[in-house]
Amino acid sequence: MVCRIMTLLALGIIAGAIHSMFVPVKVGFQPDSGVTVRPAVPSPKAGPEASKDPGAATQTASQPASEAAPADFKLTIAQAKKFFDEGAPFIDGRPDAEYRLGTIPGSRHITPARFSEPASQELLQFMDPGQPVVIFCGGGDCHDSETLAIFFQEAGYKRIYIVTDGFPGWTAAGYEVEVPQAEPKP
Amino acid sequence: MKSAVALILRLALAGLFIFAASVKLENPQVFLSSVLAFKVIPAHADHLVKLATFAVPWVELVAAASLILGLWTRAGAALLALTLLGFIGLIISVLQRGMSVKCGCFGRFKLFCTDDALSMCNVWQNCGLLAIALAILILGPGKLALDAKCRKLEAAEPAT
Repeated sequence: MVCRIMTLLALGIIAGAIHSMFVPVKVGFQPDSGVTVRPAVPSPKAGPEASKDPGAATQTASQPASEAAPADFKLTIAQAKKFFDEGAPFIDGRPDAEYRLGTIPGSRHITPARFSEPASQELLQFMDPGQPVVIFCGGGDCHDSETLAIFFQEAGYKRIYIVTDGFPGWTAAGYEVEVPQAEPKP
Repeated sequence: MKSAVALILRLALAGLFIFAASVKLENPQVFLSSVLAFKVIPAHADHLVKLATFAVPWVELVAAASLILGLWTRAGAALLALTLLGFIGLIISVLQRGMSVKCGCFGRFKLFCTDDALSMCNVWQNCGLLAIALAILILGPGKLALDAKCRKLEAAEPAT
């Protein structure tokens, strides 16, 4: 009996290992290296203040990967607010039940599991892959933003940002929240 | 009667696990985020994370296939029982650590627990499935099982 259980287990693991060789998956989101990232938020400020802007970190193709600052795609709430004020599209990756209770105004609701569905693609059809896109979820233990960021990257988007503290951070900062009128079609 | 019950339980549990596995394999990147969310495998152990992402659903599929065919039925049921015990342990560890983790069990579909985040409901749900797996382990394969055919062949062999 134990021998049979081990055989079935080994079969499953071997099949999984073989499958994993043919289907590419990414562990964590990494921004494209060697891509010139223009300042995402044009700032009226000049001098030392300007360097504090979220998009002011300019990566160029000549920079080595280590200087490409992988943390740059992670936004604080204050940086996310600047993107919001500039009209950057926000993507809410949280589950339906959380989204219905309130979201960042104007956000498009796309969960990772539904990214490839036509309804989600409809929400993205007017977005320019060259423009910045800001993704958030529930903050903390939530990995949905990173999964969505990977999907956006595969769809050709170059300037992807993640709000590290997510929606809880946004509400804690006292920024405006909108209760969606109706759930977008799944 | 007993063997009919065993057949129903076998097919029901197998169907459920085939569905769960296919949902996970349909979008492995989404299931990978669930694997990471449990924070049991460190994110820097890329290969382990990827292996778990694919091995978990494939183990479910192999065990479910053994139940459907009725081949090595008790071993298949025992493997699913062990898998469920593992899931129950993981969920309890997540709850004890005070984490809010989404259940990757059936993708965006819900079985009995309607909450998005893992809760004690998921523990009870898995206990129910564990009880079914144990029942199959005790009852055996029941009707329409290859195990029975194999036994007949083995019994017939010495006579030939």
